[in-house]
Amino acid sequence: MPQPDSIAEYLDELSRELAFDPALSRRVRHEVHDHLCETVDGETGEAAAGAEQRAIARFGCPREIAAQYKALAIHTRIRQAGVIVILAVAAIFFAMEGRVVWYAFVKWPVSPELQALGAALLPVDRYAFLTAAVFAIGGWLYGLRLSIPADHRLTSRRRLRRCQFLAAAATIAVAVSVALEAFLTSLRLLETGFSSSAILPIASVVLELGLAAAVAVYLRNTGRRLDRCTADS
Amino acid sequence: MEGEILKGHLDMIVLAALAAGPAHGYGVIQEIRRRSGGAFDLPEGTIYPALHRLEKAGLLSSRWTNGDSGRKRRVYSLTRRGDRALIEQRAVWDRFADAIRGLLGSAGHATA
Repeated sequence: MPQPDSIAEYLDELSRELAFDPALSRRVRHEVHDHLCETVDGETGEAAAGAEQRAIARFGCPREIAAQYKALAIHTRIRQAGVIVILAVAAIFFAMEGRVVWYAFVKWPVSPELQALGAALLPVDRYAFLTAAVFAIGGWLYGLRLSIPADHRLTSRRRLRRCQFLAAAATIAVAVSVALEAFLTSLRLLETGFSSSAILPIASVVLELGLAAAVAVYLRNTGRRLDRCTADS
Repeated sequence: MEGEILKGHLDMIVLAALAAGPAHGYGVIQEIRRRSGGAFDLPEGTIYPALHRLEKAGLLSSRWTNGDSGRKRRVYSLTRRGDRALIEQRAVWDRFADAIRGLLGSAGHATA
């Protein structure tokens, strides 16, 4: 790859390589700009000719520098995934419990058929949620044990994959639980018809579905980044 | 100095350079060069990801300042954890250096 001729071109190339994280890209651009300008400012007299090119050459290849940031970024993102999943599972739990309390508070009528269906599905719902909680806590604890990579080679790739797997398993389990809850809630609403007291159950189900979908999207994007990072390193 | 050996000790080198006081990336590189008598001439671009990584690990903190030139400048300093990590790494290094010195010394005597 040819070396950029000017500091501006070099910074543009580095920014492109760091485009996976715009905030990081801006920060690094400022830092490297200051560094290169200071290096050039330090060269006076005859040495000033070609000072920019020498400063750029000494700084190194933008792709290799970006690869080091990329490894760190994916590592941070996977650790964050553990926290995000556990927070989402906790929020979903409170939304579900809140709905149960609300049903009791408004004395929501339930037909015997729906009660029987609810009783049949409840163990599946509970075990799916418990499984989600166990995987979420496991993924979070596993993520805490991951050390920050010392270079761009992503030596802890297998551990990152395990952490990602735990987070994905928790998300699938919680999605099953949320889907069952949404199904039972819609049956309740169909039985009684829409009223103002139905707003809270509807809002809680929408919140749960939204959280599960957001976590799934986050994990899918994280997986794609890890794949790209693995391919680059 | 072999690049790979240097890379293996980059964290300790950067922490040691910042033990003298807060500095920006360029300052850290200059400090490393000065204190090593020019022996540690690292590729300059490797220092910034290392600073970023050490900050993520909680060993450094950083803030933006405006330099004399008017350009924005990120200044790094050791945190308490960074201080402790440097003390630990220095102790490990001293033990390692003593062991190697002893080994090489005895090897020298054996071949003499």
